Amino acid sequence: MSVPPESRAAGAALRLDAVSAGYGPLVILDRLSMALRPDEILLVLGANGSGKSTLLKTVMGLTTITGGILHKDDVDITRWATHRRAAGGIGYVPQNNNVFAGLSVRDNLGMGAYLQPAKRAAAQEAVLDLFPRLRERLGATAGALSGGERRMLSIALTLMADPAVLLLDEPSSDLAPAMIDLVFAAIQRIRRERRIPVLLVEQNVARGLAIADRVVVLVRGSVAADMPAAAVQRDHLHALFLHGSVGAAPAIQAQRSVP
Amino acid sequence: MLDFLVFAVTMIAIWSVVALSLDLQFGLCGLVNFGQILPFALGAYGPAISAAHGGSISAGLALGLAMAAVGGVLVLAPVGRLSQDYWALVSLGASEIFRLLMVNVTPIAGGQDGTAVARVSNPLAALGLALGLLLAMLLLARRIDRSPLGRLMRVLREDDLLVATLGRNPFRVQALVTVVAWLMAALAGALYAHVVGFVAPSSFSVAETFIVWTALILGGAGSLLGAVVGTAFVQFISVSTRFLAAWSGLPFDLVANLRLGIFGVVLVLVFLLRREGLVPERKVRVDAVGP
Repeated sequence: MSVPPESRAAGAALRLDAVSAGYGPLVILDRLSMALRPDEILLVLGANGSGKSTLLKTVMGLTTITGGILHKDDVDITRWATHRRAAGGIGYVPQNNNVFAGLSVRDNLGMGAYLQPAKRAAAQEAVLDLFPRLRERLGATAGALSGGERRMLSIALTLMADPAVLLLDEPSSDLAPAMIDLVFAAIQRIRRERRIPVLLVEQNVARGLAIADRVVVLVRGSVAADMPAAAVQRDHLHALFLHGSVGAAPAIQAQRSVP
Repeated sequence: MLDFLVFAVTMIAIWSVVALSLDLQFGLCGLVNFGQILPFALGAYGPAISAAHGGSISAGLALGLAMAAVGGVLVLAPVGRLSQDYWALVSLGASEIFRLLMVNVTPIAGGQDGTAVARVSNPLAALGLALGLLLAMLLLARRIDRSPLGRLMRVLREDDLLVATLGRNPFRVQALVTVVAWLMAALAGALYAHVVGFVAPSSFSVAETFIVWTALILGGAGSLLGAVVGTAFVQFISVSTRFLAAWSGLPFDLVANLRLGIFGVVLVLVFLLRREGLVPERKVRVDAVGP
């Protein structure tokens, strides 16, 4: 099995070595290898069904891993349960069902503080500073928030635990452009101030590229391309999305994880 | 007539404890258990097995509780995530396995014919014991409900995966709730055995579990008082159909089956007209991080 040089990089925040995973008998990730470097925003692109969300769920322990090894800071966490991964510093913001709709904003943040109860007040101040809109809505029920406020709360909730790595699943989905601006500015600020890497799954390619340092493209559950965000050209992405290969775009240094 | 009323209220109190134990699991924690008759049966079979083998009353009680605790752990062990549907089926299957075991293995406690156990001969003493147990269990359930554990249970009911991604182990809380609820139902079962004075497998059929479900949904899942009110209502219908049989001259079997039909209609009406039940769950603030 050939492991791409990217995955061998020492000191990666997250590293997947030939990971296969899915839901029961349905395997979505196919011997996928990649690494998340400390302090970077890594954008994951791919067509519907290419395994982007499954990648994040696999890192969080919400899928069945059938092969390969998953490392966080060089610790093998492949068999860890979800709650243990959270305690180990992985923060995950799902695309849907990401807040407790029946609880108030304040109580949602309280739930997020379970791992760091002593730092709750300071953590809450920090996330309210990041999302001032939530301060006005502290007493409101999360189910009554607008889509944008809800997205902010979902990110804030995860940040309450002071994660060392942040996984974001489609933070722009179903949001108005002005709200996307706010959320993406917050993501940049999180990376800058907390100095934590972000694994970002995003359908909105232009928005994602604007803040990402590096891009991986998934095709049928494997990494089809891995490149700096600045080097991405639109027609290359078209070739990857539409044809599932880089044959039409030889300029890209493609790295398939499958030998 | 008065004797009968005393007996009816005693039964309401005992079955209320079972409904309360289901309320802790389903109403507060979102765990669907279709075999809640099992811990009740285990609690009742403690005294029965003890009596059949010459043991004392306290030995029977201890045996019933121990069987419920061990049974709970045994049934829980193979199930990784309690919020999934198959927990409902595993619990349903386990309750039937136990009942069939009791039917077929006569040496344990008399098989199909059952076993006589020491009966609380004074109806008022039985009533007092049942009301005392109900009060104690209500206070315990209320204490759990209002504790950080209770708040966490309600959050797990909403989304256990999200809770896991925030660093808590949902299974530990769900397993704890299940074992506590099973011990509650076992206590009710042991008292039932001594009040009725007789334990046989036919008392612990799957239908009994669904009558408890009917009571809980009618009363209001998530509301502790609702479990009691719902049980009172269901037992009242049960009892009145018996009088209806005598009064109307219709065959008793027909009226008894009609009773199950009435429960079905009641359930449909509740879902259509008052989903939150007769006593709706109180709105809670969850402003604590918990244990």
